Amino acid sequence: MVPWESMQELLDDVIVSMTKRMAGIDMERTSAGCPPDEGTVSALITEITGTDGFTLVYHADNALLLEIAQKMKRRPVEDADEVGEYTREYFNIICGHMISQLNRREKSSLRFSMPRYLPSPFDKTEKDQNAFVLHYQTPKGPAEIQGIYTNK
Amino acid sequence: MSIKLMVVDDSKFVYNEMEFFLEGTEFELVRYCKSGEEAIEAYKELKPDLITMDIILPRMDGFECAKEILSLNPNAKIIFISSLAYDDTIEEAKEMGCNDFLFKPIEQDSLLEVLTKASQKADGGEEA
Repeated sequence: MVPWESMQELLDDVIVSMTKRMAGIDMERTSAGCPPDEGTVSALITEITGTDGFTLVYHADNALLLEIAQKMKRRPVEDADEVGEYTREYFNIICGHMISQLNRREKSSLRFSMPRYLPSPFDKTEKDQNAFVLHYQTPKGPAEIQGIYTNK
Repeated sequence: MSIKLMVVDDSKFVYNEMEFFLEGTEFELVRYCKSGEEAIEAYKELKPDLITMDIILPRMDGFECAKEILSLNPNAKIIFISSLAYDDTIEEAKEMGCNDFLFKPIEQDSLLEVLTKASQKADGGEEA
């Protein structure tokens, strides 16, 4: 099993550096969460499989995701579908970097699924357990990333 | 004379970046393909000088697509672009005979360096 501390450290580093690189946005770690409000928060989700198995869920304020999409596109986005398209790629790149580095460091063989975009908060079930949560604040609103063990 | 480049990626982000980074250079974006199947047909039609290829594509992945294009022309110049930096992925790309590998998000300097290097490699022979 991959040590959670190692994963969190890498994930934090990759999210902050990649968000800056792709969208020019500074992300600051905080203790406050991203309120799971319908209508203001969306989710990006991927499934991690291999030597360990869990779900990574990235919740972010819609204003933040819109800004990320527009910066990546280098022009205004047309609609919610475009926000989804660009932010899925954004999260795809983050996951690619994180998993690649983690596999090298921990000699694991983790893989991740193509992220999906949900224009609403991810609905955890009662059986789902949080392995970790990292909270962030940005000039465009909050974000958080959770690692969730799913008991199927 | 411009160097013709075909981009194969199901994400518009990469295409947008290419358009932006290559404006005003000798590299001309002649086609953007969102799938391997589309790329194979486009290759037969256009015979671009260079191809950038994502690895994760719908249905046919980038490796399968590259193999198909290389069977049409063993001298086709293919550069893989991916967010995946798995060692076995890079190894597989090298064994296949790809010209180079770039990691997303791409940077202008690295892109130009890799494209220039690939375009300067001599063509060995005719299409199969």
